[in-house]
Amino acid sequence: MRRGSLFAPLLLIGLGALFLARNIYPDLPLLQYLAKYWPFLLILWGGLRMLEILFWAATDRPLPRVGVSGGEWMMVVLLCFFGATLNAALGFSNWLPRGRLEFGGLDIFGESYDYPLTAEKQVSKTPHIVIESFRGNARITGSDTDSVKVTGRKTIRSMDQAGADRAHQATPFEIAGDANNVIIRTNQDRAPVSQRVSDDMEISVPKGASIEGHGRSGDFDINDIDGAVTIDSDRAGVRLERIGGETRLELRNSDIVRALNMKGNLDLKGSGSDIDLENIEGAVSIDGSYTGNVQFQNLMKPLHFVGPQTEVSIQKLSGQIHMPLGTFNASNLAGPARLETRSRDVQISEFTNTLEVSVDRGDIELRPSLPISRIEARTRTGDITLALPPGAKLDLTASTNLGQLTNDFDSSVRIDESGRGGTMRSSMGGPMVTLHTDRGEITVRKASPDEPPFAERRVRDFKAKRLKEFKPRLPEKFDQ
Amino acid sequence: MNPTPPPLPNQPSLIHAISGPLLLTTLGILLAIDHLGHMSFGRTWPILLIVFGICRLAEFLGSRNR
Repeated sequence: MRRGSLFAPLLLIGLGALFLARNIYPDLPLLQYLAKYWPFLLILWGGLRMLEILFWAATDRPLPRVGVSGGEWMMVVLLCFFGATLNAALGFSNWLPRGRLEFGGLDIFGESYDYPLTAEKQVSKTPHIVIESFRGNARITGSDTDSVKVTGRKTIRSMDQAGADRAHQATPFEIAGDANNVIIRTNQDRAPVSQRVSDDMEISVPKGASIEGHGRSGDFDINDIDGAVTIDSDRAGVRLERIGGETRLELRNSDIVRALNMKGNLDLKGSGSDIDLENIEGAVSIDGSYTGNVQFQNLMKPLHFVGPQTEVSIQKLSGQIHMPLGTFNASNLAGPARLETRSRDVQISEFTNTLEVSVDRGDIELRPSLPISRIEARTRTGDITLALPPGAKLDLTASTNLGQLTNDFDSSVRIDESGRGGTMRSSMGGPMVTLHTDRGEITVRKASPDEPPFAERRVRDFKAKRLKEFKPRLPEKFDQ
Repeated sequence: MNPTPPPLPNQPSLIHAISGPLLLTTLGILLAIDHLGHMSFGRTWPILLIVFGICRLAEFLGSRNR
């Protein structure tokens, strides 16, 4: 009789658990996890089968002729194909034949040939610089200069040196335009289909320049620019620091967007993973699906964030907002503020002005600062906790359809229980505070002055984090 | 006297049975290393050949000693 394997039932249990987790946390980026971690399925599969065989051997049972049958190998091949395709489709890597498979120094799909890039052009103090669509990384730095200078290297993947040389000739690097309108052109689209060209550029520009970059795959790293910055790219990580003008980013599958010390407005559209914004003097508008770690710190003008499951708008953020999966933690923000989300536990401390929170599924915990303003918090399923500073005056109406009501704040608060829920009211002569949950407990208590904020300031090593992935290769390293 | 019967010639050895799962696990580890960004599969794939070779060698040595 053919023995069944442990892997199939475990796979079913695992799939069930994954879909259950997705139902409980709709924001869970299940596809991203699958795309990144699917090889662990192979490890689990092989490991379990090995344990089974060792167990059979130890208990003197007959061993199977082959540990993994032909049909199972077919499944493995299909799984690899599916996983690698998903991985490439979500922008984590390149799918073959763009990937390399090396045979002792030789690549199946050719080798890499490098050519140095250098070009320079005299320009005005405030040029508009357009980088035409290219594949590769660009690091753009503003300084007190009146020229645009590009150094770096062009990498061509080709079967032989002659083919690479031809592709190099066909894709001349140029800085075109006049002193006020500069075009940086890599001409990568002129390369033969079989040869893949990418350019890594280190671009030095006048500080007053404005930048318009178009990329297909690769990172942008832009520093010390007084003009506007516009980036439109696929699969780009974007890191911005000390930008004076308006910044507009339209990115698909970006792994990270970081912006630090920005003077103008920031407008971000698209999809990706992490967002990290700090010290932004202009208004911030974000519209898209970001599944990683989203955090904001010190935003001096309004923030408007629209995601598939969550919408946030606030007037000013002196503290922090952290939005990891399933949670929304914020401290030190100014309203009028509004948060609407499907499934997150919400914690907000030290806020002023009015606040509206609406959650489908999740707990709400609020700790306002004095003076209290109008608060409206609703959740369908979840507990609500309101911690008030001593001396707070408010007109409270808190109701639950199913759950307990607890008052540890003031003896003037009345509780009327009805059915399995109830209502809690107080009239101290202050702004309206309305709390409602369909299913959950409501607690009103005193806040103690030494409670830590819900979102702590994080000290981050802003520069070091991404350097590993952004590798501008400088000309001095070339084998010329 | 009843001597122990020799193993059947087509009785599969433990090494033979385990080489498939071992290769599968190795493949998974190499792909995981690739996806986590440490080293590309394009560079590490010869480890699969090495593991396969070691399995066959162990099988050969095991059958000689039997």
